[in-house]
Amino acid sequence: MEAVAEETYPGLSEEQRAHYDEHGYIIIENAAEPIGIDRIQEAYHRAESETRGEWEQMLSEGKFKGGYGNGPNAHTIRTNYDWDTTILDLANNPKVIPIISEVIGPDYQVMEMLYHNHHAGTIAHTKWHRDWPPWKHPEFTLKAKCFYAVEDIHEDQGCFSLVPGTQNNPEGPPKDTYTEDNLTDMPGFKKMTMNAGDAIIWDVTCWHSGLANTSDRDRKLVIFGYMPFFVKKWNASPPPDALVEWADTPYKRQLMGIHNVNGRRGWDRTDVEYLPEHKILAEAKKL
Amino acid sequence: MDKYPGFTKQQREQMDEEGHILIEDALEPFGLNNVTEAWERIQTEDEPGWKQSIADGTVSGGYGNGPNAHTMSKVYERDKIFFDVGGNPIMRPFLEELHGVDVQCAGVTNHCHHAGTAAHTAWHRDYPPWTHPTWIIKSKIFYFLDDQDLDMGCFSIAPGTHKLPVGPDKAAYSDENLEKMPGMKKIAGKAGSAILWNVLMYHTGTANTSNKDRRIILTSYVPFWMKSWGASGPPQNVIDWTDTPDLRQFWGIHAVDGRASYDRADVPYLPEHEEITKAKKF
Repeated sequence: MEAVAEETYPGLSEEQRAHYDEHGYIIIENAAEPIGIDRIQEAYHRAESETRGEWEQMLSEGKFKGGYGNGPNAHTIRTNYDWDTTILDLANNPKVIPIISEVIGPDYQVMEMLYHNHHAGTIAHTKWHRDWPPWKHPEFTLKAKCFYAVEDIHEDQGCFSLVPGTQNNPEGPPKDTYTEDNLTDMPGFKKMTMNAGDAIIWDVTCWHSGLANTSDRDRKLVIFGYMPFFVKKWNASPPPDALVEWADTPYKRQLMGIHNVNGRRGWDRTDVEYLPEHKILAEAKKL
Repeated sequence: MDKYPGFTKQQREQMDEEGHILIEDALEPFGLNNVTEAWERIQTEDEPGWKQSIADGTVSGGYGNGPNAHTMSKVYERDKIFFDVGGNPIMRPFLEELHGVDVQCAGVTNHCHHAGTAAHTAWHRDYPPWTHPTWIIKSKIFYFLDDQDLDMGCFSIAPGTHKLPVGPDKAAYSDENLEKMPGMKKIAGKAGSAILWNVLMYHTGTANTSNKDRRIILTSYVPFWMKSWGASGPPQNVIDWTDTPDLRQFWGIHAVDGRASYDRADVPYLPEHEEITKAKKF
């Protein structure tokens, strides 16, 4: 979040914040506008194309690995930072980052960045669940995700679905009651239809699922997860050079989990040299 | 019955309501004298450097390291007895109840708040107020090497404040008003006893007006998913000492209960731990 972005995009309105607090999510229309949906679609399709071979190989071997239901019903598409700066710029989207800073706190970092395809004519690739234990804070969310619609997503496209308000439940969803056979019996759930370029920002303790994609159109998302800087990232391996090179401001360094602006110096990577202006910030900290 | 069974019902209620419990004879598995000798050895080694840093104005570090206190960090890397104190079997059952089974030790520090010095810290809490229906985000244990009298600059708390959404009013309760914090309780205790406490509770140290140093060991605990080793991995002696999957998790290296993606990739798995990891989805 740079100063210019703060001035241009103010973050959540009072009404949006109230909606997020009550329901656990907020949809931002045309969220991708600062980056450009054409650019995002191009990067998405290139990444999908480059990784389709290995995904098909995995399917043929029957050894399904990876999150977000990577398997016969979905392709979890890894990113290639050597050419893909679009996903990095989208992670740092000036229209969304002020909201992330409000929701996660000023020490936000991005934990995951990926593309995802839940294919036309496939069954649900996941079941009702929540992603994290129900940690609570008076202001902040421990983990929020931001899903961008790469193309329009209609009701029959295996929508990302969520039960509003369940972020306040101490328990997770009853998985045995709502299985793959009756996912849509979950009371109160809402299918998140979106236009291309829209984004949903949501608390991952909300109960959520994907549904069967009964349409003849793939459901295409760009997925980001955001958490505070004190959560593990780059645990042993250093950040890839391409990320370090892209992160040429203190706030970009924080976003990538390298050196934080708003947080303890003790959590910074010591195997990446500080930017000169970041070094001054770090040295001014007590801890 | 387990040798070290964890919380009694009364202790758990006190922990939940007040945010702390006092445990007597907490260093019994190691012997108070052995621990104190090791503590004194490290103090002797470090004191000249600490004094020099004060003299030349370069002193820094947590727990008020400076003219009124000497903080000796990462002592678990320097003497096996402090590694063992970090994983004290008396405390493990308490910690697993408080944090969940993926608890890790986030530090062991020796600390001296010297006789005749001012308070080395002010009222604060150590972490933002993250709460969970069952667990707490961070706890600490302070072990007392000597009898703690009320004039020794006692570790002091405001019981119950771990439940408050905001931290203490630092401006209102500082300097001459430090001891006017409502509900303030000075923690006195016998040598070898320890206080286990929720770091969201308001706490401070006070002036040590006695002629005895306040000598303690501080250990801290968080869930496995929180940053611990950062960029530099664990030193070889800690890797060697963590020779079971349980210890590997407890020292933040490889999780038994928790995502494999949080494991250190620069430390080879123990063979039996590798099997555990391969069975995980993430």
